[in-house]
Amino acid sequence: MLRRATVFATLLAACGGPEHASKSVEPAHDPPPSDSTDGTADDLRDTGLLPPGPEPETDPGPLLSPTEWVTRASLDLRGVRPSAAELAAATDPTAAAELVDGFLEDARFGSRMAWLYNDVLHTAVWFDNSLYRYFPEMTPEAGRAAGFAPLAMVEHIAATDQPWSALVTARELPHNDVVASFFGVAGTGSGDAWVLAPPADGRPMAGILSSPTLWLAYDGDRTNFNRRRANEVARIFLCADFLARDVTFEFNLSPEALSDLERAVQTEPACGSCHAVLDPMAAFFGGFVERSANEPTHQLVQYSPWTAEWYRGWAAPAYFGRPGTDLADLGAYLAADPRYSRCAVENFAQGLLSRPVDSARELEAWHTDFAEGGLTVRALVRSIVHSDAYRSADRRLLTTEQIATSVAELVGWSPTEEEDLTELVWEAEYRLLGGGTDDAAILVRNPEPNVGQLVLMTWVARRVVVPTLTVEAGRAAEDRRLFTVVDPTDRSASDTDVRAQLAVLHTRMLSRPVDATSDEVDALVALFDSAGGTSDPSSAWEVVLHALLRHPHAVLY
Amino acid sequence: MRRAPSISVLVAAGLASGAAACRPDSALLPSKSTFSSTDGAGTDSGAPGTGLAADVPAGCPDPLSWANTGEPYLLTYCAGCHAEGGDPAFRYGAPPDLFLDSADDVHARSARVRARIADGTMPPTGGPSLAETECFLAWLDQGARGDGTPLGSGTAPPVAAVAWEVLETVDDDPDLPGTLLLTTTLVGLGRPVATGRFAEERWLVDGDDAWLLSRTRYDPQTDAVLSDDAWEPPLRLSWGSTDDGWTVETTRTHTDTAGTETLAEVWDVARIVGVATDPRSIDTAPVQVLAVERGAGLELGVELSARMGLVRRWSFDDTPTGDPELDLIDTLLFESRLPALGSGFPLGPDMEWSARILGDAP
Repeated sequence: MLRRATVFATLLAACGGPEHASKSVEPAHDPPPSDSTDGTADDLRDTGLLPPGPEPETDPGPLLSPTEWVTRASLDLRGVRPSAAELAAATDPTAAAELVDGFLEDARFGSRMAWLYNDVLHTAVWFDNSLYRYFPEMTPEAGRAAGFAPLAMVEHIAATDQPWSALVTARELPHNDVVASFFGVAGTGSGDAWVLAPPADGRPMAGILSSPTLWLAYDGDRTNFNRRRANEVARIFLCADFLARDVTFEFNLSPEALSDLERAVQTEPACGSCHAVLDPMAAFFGGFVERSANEPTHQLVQYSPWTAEWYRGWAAPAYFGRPGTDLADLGAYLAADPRYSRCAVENFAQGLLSRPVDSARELEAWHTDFAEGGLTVRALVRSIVHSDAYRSADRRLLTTEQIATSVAELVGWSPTEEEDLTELVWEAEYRLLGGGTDDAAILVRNPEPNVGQLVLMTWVARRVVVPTLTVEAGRAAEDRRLFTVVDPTDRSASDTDVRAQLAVLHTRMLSRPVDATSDEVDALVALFDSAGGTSDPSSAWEVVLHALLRHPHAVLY
Repeated sequence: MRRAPSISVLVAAGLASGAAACRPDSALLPSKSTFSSTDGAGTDSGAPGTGLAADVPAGCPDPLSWANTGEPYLLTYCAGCHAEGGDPAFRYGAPPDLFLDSADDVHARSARVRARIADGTMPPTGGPSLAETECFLAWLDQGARGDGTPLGSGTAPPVAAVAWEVLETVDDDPDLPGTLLLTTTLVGLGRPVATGRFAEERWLVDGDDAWLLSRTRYDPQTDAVLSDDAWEPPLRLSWGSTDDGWTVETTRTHTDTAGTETLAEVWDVARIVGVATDPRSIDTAPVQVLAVERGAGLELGVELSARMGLVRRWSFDDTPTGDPELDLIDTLLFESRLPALGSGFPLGPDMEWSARILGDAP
């Protein structure tokens, strides 16, 4: 678990984080004994600390079958399981590849990429888990809209094939009336639909760098001088987190220096490793006031040219030694930085592989496709999902957002129906139970199957099974989503039809096609009969649906 | 993000002394005895890397390049103090003439750079992981080759000098057929538009079809109309057309302080798909529509895309009634990084967008 660096200002002002402070206990010493190593990389390789020679071709191990690959890609790129027809077609590898390419063009692709990127931005549910939830303006709708606003930009960029650089160079931001109401600015007239428009206060525009959401979620405490925001820019867009640096130094400042840390960080050479870049970059953010929870929200999110000017007097804004004026310059510098596009590759690859990517060659190959594809998210993701690393037969855990969208699609609930699974997307308790993040305290997903996930799926089953049976029974046969063979209330269904129906359920709900004579169906028949069978079909189908929703393959993909 | 073995791993493995623990890159990295010493200005007097280095180390991009190794390392760990354009207050004692702004700069000092990194004295308190350092040193050993571009400058950042204003409104004119929208685009200087001249254009838009109805130029300080042009029939500049070009015969009614005149015009319009766009634009593959009037020397150009709407616009009016200065303003304005007309989010009736654009003064 990572926690937000709430004491970031103090730590950085003291030239290092807690990790650095503990390391600094060790003073500089002599080189290691010559009899243990002569200090060459080859020696390190000999000791096993570095792998030998050039990076070997990585063996991805067993790969998913085409059907499993299509299932994984469908859930990752569309948020839903493949249809029965898609599963049937996917047995042919060529058809499977075409299906995956089709998923990339799906209308839900942009939204999926936005949620994937929330694991980097961590804004979506931040408002609901911060002090702002106590603000009178903070309705659940307002918090969700404000939190999703920068992700709506990601969605737009991904869906419309804009270059990834637009994220930090676009001259407009997504707005809707809910966000406008919360932030106390003029509405868009679009209701809760997102509209791209520049903010009305004339702030320098640099994509989501100009987003009030981002700088509320990543604020300071008025003694931090926006260093935290600068570090978040380095972490989010460059994968160059200052707090992850292997910095070591002797922290033996004099009492005089300690009493004036702000001066010390500009004069002590030991501080320069971070502050030479951090402080000038922090000066770009002066227009966004740092936090005071006592202030009305609109005062926190409106850009102030006066405070921007004040900060420029404190430190001249610069990007890694390059002078700039405002956020538009920062965005232009970021977009031109070679680390920017490579960081996007790392982040999207980690999201799609559910693990950090440690192969420089894989990253380079994906980056090449990303660059040649015009830096569009679609080009990058296409390259990743067709790779062996993505098709590796390791099991991955569905996110709570994927569970919500895939189950809703399975049972045929529309967003306007009363029953939904929005808790899985927006409420921290459910997200954390499923191994997810709350964007405030828990920032790293738990990729391993866990008890919480089982509890969560039990809750999901209780939420959806009975309403689903009711809705399905009320639908005409041709309109049913799951019960395509029998009516779930039919007491006269034949054994053959029950078996066929169970095969359909297994195929659709677990994305694992089976036929009616398979062992899996035998097991489900036993379960069905033990719960009353056709003499009590509602109870029997309820038990079957419960079992399938709580099956490990309902969350592992 | 990739992580190299951390120093805590070194300690835990019992394979490094406390000294090594404090400076992971000190004395543990390959040393090159073949480099000559450096002169006082930090420029190597000897030859830099030969470019014939051994294999790329494990965990490094292969092949190593300026973009994937040299530039990221220099930006992350060196540029803060060693950039020529940096604030002297944040150089932390770096020699005043030691700049590392390009691969050439590094190439010229590669022996010194290598020595300081390998002995752990640069960066002063560490920072790079062992793997990052090893990859960078390997890049140095391969000759520290760049691609000719300065550090971190894939595109030059814009210099803010003048604030331009664009305002487009969309009117839901009840007299228009259902699919037609009347858009008015206002461009000028300042916010709100208060100084200098500005232009107002009225367009009729129907999906990807567009017609220019009129253009009016004002002096907002005196509220005087400098000129007014209206085309009947409207000048078709449709970016969604399937034609490569077409001709428009129209009549322009031109009004200025000297009076009103009516001009018969024939416009040749060419539609070009996939033109190279302004690299600062966030859009790709736009359609360019270029209209040239046969007789008077008027030229109108727009560059649009289905997704982003207008990305560039320019006009040249060499006629006696033209206003070259305003044409220049238009051109500069729309060659700045511009927000979209449509942006993929539909701009509906009674909506408007505006933007403040920073660009050089004409």
